[in-house]
Amino acid sequence: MNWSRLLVRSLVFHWRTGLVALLGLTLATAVITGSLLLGDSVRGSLRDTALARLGNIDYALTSPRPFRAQLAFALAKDRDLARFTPRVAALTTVTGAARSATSGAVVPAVAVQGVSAEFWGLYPGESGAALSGRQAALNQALAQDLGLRIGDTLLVTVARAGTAPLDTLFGRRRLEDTTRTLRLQVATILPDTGAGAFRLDSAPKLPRNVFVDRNWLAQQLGQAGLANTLLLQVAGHQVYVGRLTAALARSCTLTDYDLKLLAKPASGYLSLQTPALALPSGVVTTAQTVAQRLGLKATASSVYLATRLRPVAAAGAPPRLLAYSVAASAASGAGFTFRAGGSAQGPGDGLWLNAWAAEDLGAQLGQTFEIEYLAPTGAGDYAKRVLRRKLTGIVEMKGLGADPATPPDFEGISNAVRIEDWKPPFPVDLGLVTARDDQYWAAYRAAPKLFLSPDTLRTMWQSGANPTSDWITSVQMPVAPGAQPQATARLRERLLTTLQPADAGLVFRPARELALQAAAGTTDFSSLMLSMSMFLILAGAGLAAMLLRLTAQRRAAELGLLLAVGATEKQTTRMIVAEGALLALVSAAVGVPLGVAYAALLIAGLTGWWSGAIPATSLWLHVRSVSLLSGGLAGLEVGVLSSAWAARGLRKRGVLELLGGWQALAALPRPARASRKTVAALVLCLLGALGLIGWTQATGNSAGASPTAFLGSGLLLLVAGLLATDLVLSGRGRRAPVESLARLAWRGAGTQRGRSLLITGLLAAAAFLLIAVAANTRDLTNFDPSRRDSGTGGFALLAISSVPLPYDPGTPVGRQRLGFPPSDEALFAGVRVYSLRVSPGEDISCLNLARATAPQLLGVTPEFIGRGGFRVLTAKPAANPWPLLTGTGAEIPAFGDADSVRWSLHSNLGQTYPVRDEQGESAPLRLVGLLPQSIFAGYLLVSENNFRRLYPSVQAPRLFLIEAPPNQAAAVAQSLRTNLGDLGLTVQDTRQTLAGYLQVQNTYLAMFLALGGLGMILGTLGLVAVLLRSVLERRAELALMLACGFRRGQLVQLLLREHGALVVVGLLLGTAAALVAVAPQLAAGEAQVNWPALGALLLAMAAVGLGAGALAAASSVRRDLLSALREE
Amino acid sequence: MSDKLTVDGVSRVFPGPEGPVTVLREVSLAAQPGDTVALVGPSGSGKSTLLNLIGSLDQPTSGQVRLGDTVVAGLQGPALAAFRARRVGFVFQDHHLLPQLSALENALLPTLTLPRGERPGRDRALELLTQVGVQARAHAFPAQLSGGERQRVAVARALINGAGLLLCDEPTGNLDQTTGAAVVSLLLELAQAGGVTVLMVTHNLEQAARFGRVLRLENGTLVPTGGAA
Repeated sequence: MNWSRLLVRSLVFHWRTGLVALLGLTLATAVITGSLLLGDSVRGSLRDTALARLGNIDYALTSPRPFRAQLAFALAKDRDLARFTPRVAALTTVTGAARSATSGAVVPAVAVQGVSAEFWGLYPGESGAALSGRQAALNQALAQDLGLRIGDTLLVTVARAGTAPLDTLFGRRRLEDTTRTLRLQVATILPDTGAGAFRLDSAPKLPRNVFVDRNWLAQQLGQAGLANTLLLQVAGHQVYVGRLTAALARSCTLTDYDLKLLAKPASGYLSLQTPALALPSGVVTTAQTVAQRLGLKATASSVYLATRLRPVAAAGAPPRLLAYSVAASAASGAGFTFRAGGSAQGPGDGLWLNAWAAEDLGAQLGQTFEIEYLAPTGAGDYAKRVLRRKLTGIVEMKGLGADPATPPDFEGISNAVRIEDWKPPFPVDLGLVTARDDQYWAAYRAAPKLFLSPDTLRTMWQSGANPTSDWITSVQMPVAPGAQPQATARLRERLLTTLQPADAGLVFRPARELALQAAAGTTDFSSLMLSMSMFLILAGAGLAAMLLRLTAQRRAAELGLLLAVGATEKQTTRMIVAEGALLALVSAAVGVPLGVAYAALLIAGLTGWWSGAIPATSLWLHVRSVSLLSGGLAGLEVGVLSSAWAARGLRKRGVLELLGGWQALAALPRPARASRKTVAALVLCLLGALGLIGWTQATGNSAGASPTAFLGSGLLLLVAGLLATDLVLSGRGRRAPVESLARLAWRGAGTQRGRSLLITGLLAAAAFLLIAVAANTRDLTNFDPSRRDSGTGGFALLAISSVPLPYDPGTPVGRQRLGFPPSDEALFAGVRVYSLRVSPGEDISCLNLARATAPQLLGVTPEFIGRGGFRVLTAKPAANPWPLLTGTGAEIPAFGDADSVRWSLHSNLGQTYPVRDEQGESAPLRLVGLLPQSIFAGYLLVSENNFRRLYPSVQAPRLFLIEAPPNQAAAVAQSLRTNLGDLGLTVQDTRQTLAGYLQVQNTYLAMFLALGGLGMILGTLGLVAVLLRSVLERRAELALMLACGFRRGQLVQLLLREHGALVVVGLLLGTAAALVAVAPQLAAGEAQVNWPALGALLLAMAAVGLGAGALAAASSVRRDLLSALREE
Repeated sequence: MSDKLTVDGVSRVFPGPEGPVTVLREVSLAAQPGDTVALVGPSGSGKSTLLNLIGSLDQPTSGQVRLGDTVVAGLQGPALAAFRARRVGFVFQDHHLLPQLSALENALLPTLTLPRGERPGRDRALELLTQVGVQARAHAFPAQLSGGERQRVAVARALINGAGLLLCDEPTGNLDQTTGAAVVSLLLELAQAGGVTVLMVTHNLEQAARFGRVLRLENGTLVPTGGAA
């Protein structure tokens, strides 16, 4: 005889109980393992998807401005990088909207990838597509969306970046300048894997890709020889970003920085310019520093166009004016020869004219002049601005006074033979141009005629839509004509060693590493599924624990005997725990494979009927041995803990108590002190519940605190109800005499108080949780989107364009320029459109399962900030908290959707969240406001000014919020779709947008209810096993009652009443407490509770409980009870 | 190994709903190795309580129980377990045989509490079963045994670790007259043969009369009897 033998014998003897406990433990093990595997599967699927899309790409560079495609070759041959055998591909990537030429179907947000053979080389094993001219390769998803086959034609409208920024006077805004429609023929359809699904961001959604020849695309965009993306593969992934950046810096030319260094021998200086016209301030500073180190003087120069220049004439004097004259900055008198007036310190508050202009205007020193110029507005038109300056100098027509090299090349102007040949982006009144102007143009081209202080020029540049616009158009460094070639070479070399690629937005990002980070996902699906399956786990583990405890209790006498014959408590405890552990080992062996099946079932659910929880995400089973092991160990732990819990209940008992057997233990009276404590706890719970509700009502706080307070009250009431049940069961105080079968039944329940309370508590908790969760399912049918304090902010429509819109669709002028017919204007009466810029980046809403590595930002305009709206949670309440965004400190204030910030970014109100700007620099965002359940779930919001600082290359809005009267919204949406659909504009009812986000939440709740319901039914079945066991154990008692004259039917009735009362009390308690907890949601009418289904679930639980009780009772009284009596 | 049993002024008071209840009052007795003592008295007189105190299953409110040099009330933890394992053997009115074990295994059950090297083996158990007359039923399970047989197995179990003091709490209470008498005979034989001290609680005065001494408890106090002393 040894302990092991005793253990095995005990397990074999109690095999029925053991089997049910084993089933419970197996269920718990399977569910835990399956939940862990689901987490593995989500992460693994995201990772596999992301890596397959990247092929062999390790690093990627996406630039807001184009650079030489040759940079790829230069980089591949870099002296340091070459040993890593890099493979570099240059791409031209643009976004647009695709339309089928035959069906007219439009798909927005299509990525047009201009690729070369090097790109396909990054995907080993894929044949790629040899493309030329208009030939296009589509991925399967896009071809399917558009219904295209090989040979079909599609039209793709893409954004075409101009040379000058869109929001400056020289920026080209017309649709034909800012967009380009490409007519393509489908040559190949690629599978939706590998290269066909190429995308660099972390979004798991399958992209819609069109591949064309890079050179051809660049030509179509007016960017021949240029590219905007580099993809890099290096051997062994051994290269770090710092090394790449150094190699990039060595490989870049000034063209890659969007700069040109021009020798101007006729003017006697070198000029650093940019095709974008205005040099970034950082470049200006760098150029000045470099020039200084080379012993050169560097002057920042700016030019602007004065549309009209005229003297403020006395009444009756003949009107004289000069049209379309270039104004230049003059920081000093150097380079000028003065005919009259002038100053070595520059014009200051005054104005200098060159002699030609002065003669034309008959100008006299001291005369005041009006300088009229145009400032571009956000709407897309031009506002007239007027400056008044007193003439303080007239310069001779030499040197800077007649220097055609001062202005940079203006696209559509500089190359014109005559003024009438100008093709500027702004309106020109050729009627104002005189023969003298043409003569001047022929002789001096765009040489400035008037000179103002640099501050005045800055004012002119920044008085338009962009108040922080760059404004220096060249940096001039005087060098004698003969020395210019040598100086140019030295300066270029120095500039290239000083400038950093990041200054031009040339930043390599570790694409593979970021993809792996993103694949970690926003949510730990293992934990989520464990929570969702908690009822199932509890049902299994609880059932096992209860049975193990009951078995242990039943064997109280056995343990007592062991103690009496000299066993220690440790030995008896170890024996009970070992039994549980042995069962758990078997259950782990069975439960782990079942866990794999459970995970497969969950995946089938998530890709099928629960697909709303993980929109647009491919998911397949991944099995990691560590999860199998963890699941098995967790199951084992549950078994050991359950049996330890079972043993613990008996450890405190004395030997004599144990020898008395389980019935004697159960019947032990409850100490009076314990009852007093219960009464005190009951009173406290009731007072707490009433206090919370009273406080909410008294403070009138119905916004956020109310639901929480009611939930707290509900929970307290639930606890109070259970405490009251405990008191009644324990029968302290006035114990009613047993005068009826009902009272006898209640006394029976009280005899096994712990077990009875367990049944009631479990059912009450389950009913509470199911109702509370179900009430959080939101329905927007009764939701009023016009409420400004709601998640829609009062906006009726939300529109997103695939390409930036150069004109504001919110103004009549903007709509006219965007091609809206005049007849549509009536639809827009009373409609207000707020246009927001959108940064590149990733959706941070629950619709994106991957962890966002670069959240999308929205730039909120001053008008929007002034308007306010939405419910915003801030540290300090404010009537309109939106001005909090206007801070300009080192930490950029930002708002975000409360759920997205919490679950996707894992941040919170008041915390900082770092983002990277266009130059790759880290910029901390301070979360100063959170918007609960808003249409901004996918974005973080910053002020437009701060947005410009972070993303200067994003020059036009893409997201539009539309306030429209309810009866006009549909018509406005239709008009927008009709007129801007080709640009990939999608218009959505804001209620729909919210519903999209809520669908995810509601699906999760549905999953919880389904798994919870299943868990509850299993849990109830577990209770049935307990009841059955309890009844069987009481057969001697029942036999005695038979002997006393009770009929069998009465005994069934007695048992049914006893168990039924517990089931019904439990369900009623849970339901009542839950209804209090969810009262605010129900009162608001926003809860979408499927009452029939919920009621059916609760009834099913009651029916299973009662039915099983009846079965147990019937089965019990059918046995030979008198033999049981004899045994007793 | 038997030792002298000394019970010295032992009292036991239990808390009750209407105040403390004194079950034993200043009870003293002594028993030499090999003594056989029957404890009689009406229900509730404190017989089982006294037996439990002697067997270390309960602690006296006052007074002392000594077995040899061991003060029973002072034992705790492993020492208490070792005392129960080696020095005393219990036979209860309810046999408390484990249903999952055979008669032989039940007899061997207390050996589990001893270190492996000191455990009496199967032969000893068979020897004891032979001694109590159920050797033929050694492999039967409790459900297959009669009441008398079960109680005999319980006696074998009580003696397996070589206890010198056998405490029997109405071991014949559930048995018929003949079977009960046989069990008593067995106990007396064991005492005679092995020098085991036997204390038995019984209501059966006829059986009690067969013991060396009969002690009568009334209201928690030992009162003189007319039996052999």
